[in-house]
Amino acid sequence: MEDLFLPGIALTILIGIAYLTGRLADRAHERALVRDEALLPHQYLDSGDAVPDTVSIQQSRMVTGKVVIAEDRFRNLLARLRVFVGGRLAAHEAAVIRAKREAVLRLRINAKGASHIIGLRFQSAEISRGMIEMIASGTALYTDHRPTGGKPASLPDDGVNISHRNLLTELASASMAFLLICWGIYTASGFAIEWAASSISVKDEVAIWSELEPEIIDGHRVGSQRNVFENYLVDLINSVPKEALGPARDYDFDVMIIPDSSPNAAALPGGLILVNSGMLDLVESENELLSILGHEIGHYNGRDHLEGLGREIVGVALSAMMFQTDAILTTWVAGWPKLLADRDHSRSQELDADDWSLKILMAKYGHVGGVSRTFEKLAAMQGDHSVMDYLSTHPHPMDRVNRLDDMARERGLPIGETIDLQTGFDNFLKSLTKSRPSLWNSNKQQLSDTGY
Amino acid sequence: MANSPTSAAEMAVVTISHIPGREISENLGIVFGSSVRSRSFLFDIFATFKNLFGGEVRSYTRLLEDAQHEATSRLVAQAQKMDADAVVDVHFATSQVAYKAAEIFAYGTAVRLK
Repeated sequence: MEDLFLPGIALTILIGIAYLTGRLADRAHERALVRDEALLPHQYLDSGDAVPDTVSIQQSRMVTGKVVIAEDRFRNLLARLRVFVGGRLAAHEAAVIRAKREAVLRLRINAKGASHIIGLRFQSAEISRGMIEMIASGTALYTDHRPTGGKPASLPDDGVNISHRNLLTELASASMAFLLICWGIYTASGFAIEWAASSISVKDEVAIWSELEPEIIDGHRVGSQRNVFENYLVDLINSVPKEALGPARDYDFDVMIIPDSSPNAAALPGGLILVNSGMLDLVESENELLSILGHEIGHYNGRDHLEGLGREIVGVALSAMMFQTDAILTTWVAGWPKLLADRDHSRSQELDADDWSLKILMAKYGHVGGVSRTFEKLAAMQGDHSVMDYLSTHPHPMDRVNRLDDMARERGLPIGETIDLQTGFDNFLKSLTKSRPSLWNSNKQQLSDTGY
Repeated sequence: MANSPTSAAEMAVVTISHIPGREISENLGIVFGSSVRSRSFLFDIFATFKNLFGGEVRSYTRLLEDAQHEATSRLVAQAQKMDADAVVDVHFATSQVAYKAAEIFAYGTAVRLK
């Protein structure tokens, strides 16, 4: 979520500055145009090619006027939102008119002394995106005639061509429509993904993933071998009675420890569970450990890992399709409806997964002691409820502690003594040496030495 | 704002330098109308698919039609403000002011007829 807030603040400041400088530049240009147009002597402007036959021409030559005006970031954002939603780009209409007036003004300065400018043509160029480029060209006629007064000597500026809307109102209405559309897309695609994820069987998933998995593991494991502690975690999962695992029993689970201090765990397709070392640092008992693994197994049962992957892919695909490459801003704006659409769904997934960790603990130990211990510690780290909780994809850990405890009480699940993590690990090592005594020496180590 | 389709019909707007059968009495100068528009993302996506197979992109044709119509209406509105009788030598230009947004620009010479 920090990745939404921090760039958000930076971008808001940038847009605020761009709004101010952009409006100042607009106003300065407008004022300069009015002043300079009034200074120039009257000239006949004609888009036709007919040479006036009432005057005698002394000289004629081609004249041009060019201008390139850059849009500011604020107007760029407005345009991007408007292009997505559809409709009139009010912010640009004023700018393109000013570009034309400026081009004609420069053309007329180049045609100083001429009484007529005929065959006036406008042409736009495209040097770069986000710029308004205008070229005006015509033929200046130097004649004995001097036009005076009464005739429009420059491009008329009567506001006919501009949508008179406040730019901030425009921003509000465009972004509202934009957010609603994005939210609709993400919600609809969420349902489609949920359906797709539930129709992929575990067997198919494992078959597809077995092609990709070695590449993911390669960077993290030496010789693609599990270390002792990872073996212990896998053994812990395998020691749970199969029928308690639900549909996830068909997986051949693998656990990989990631050296990362944030307390997190993740379920990857194909039965690969990632556990951050920061999570393991919090764990004191084997029961807690299985509670975390059981939670991830619960995600497999809910097919949440596939849905998560699908939502990521849809998010990337949509932003690539809708915003192309260089739009950090719109991608950021679109991040919000995605967050809201994903949030409710993700929270219910987390709670469902918690149910499975209760079930699995019951099956292995006959009691649910330690099931909520890790969340208690997480809650202590995270602190009290805050505004951020509203946007979080996970329920507040303290709420989960209370919910787990309530459920255990309602169902009358017993709470027993937990097994110390070091004891559990020692037992695992002993069982290992029983089957393969030669391993004993290499594995004779303290838990703290395993380097997780 | 004169966006109604009738306003364009009331005034002669031609791309040639005179109104056939009438004589121009006074040249009032350049008038112009411009419209910057975009279609929504849905049409943009359809257009991207259309790019795969070829063929007319109808949604963009509509966009150009709408923009051209509005630009002409605005041109006429400006000429009406000048008390002009007709707009001659009308030309159209287009530019891409923002990605996937088109500007259609109509300009001509407002004249009074005898």
